Amino acid sequence: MEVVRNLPDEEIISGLKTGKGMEDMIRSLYRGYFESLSWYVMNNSGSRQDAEDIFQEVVVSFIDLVQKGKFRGESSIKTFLYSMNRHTWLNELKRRGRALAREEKYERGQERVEMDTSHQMADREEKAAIASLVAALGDTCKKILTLFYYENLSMREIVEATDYENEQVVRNKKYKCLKQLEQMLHEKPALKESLKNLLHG
Amino acid sequence: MDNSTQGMSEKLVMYLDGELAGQEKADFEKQLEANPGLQEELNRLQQTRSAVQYFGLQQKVAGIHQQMMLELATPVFPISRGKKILRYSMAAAAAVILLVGSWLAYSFFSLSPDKVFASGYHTYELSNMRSGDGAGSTVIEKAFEGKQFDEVLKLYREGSGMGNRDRFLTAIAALEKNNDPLAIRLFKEQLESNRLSPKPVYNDESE
Repeated sequence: MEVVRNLPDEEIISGLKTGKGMEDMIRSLYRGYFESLSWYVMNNSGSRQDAEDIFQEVVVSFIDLVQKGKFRGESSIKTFLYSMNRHTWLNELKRRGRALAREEKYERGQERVEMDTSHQMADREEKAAIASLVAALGDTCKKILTLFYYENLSMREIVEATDYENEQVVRNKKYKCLKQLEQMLHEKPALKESLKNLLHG
Repeated sequence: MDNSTQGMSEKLVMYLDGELAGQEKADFEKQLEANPGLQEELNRLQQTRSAVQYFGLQQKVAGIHQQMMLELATPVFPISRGKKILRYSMAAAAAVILLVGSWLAYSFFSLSPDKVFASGYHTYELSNMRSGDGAGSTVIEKAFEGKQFDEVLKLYREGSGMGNRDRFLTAIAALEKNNDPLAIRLFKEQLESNRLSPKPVYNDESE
């Protein structure tokens, strides 16, 4: 059986910030923390599927916070993720209108971390709604926009990755897609605050 | 955006993408400062870009999530003390069952006529032994009663008494002393004698 080394916190944070070795960093988070975090969900009225969904959401939010410089390293990644996981799951239970089967006692230090993360995770449903709107774009628009704004590919590289003839055609298409998405997002006043948070963290 | 033309909007996207430089960039920033509507439009575009980046991150994690769920398909969760005790108890019980089962299986598969004979054989006992008086017994019977099998055989060789009962007891004594040919011969003689006699004795035993 392959023994997988758990990367130190500093290496993970650095990788997530710069995007260098991003996929390895994400895998390291899964290998290091999925078991213990999913145990919490599964021992508090959650299913295995719930545990997986919550962990995935926590990882996305954590990386987003790190990239915006909001993770200050005052606690370990493990403590921070644990707190985010707990908070996200309790919110999910509330949303489902369920009471927790039993109350978990927490150390005071962890409660302080939780207060920090609860602020940062407050608009998770709105973020999910925003992601759904992007997902509702056509496949071409999604591809061009994510290649340009997320993967940071140049126009030339996008031409190579798509069937478009030249950079100008891609540039025009990207402009139209961006404007289309801008309109879709700003037609929803409920998302206004979350859009601000997405931008500024 | 009421006061912005299509060209202005395109320029705004170029500014957003960092494609303006030098004097062109400086001139556009002056326009931005003077035009709140344009600033608002820039803000909306920046938020839209953030939404795409968030979506991209979500997609990246989702792709790795699938791989990792396969890799971590069999999570090992910490078990409670109670469960640990139960697990060890079950293991101990299983070990005992295995041992007993193995012993029974060994006994069954190693069963042979010799083993059955060894475990089931009992020395023949005379029917009048319980009374203990021994009145009317022959010397062979008395020796047999005292489990002096060598003495029985000796008396037989010396020709002491040879009635049915003495012959039969001598055959048993021969068996006890592992003199099988003699025992067989005497049992056969007894059966032959029975065949000729209207009142057979020790027939079943001799067979």
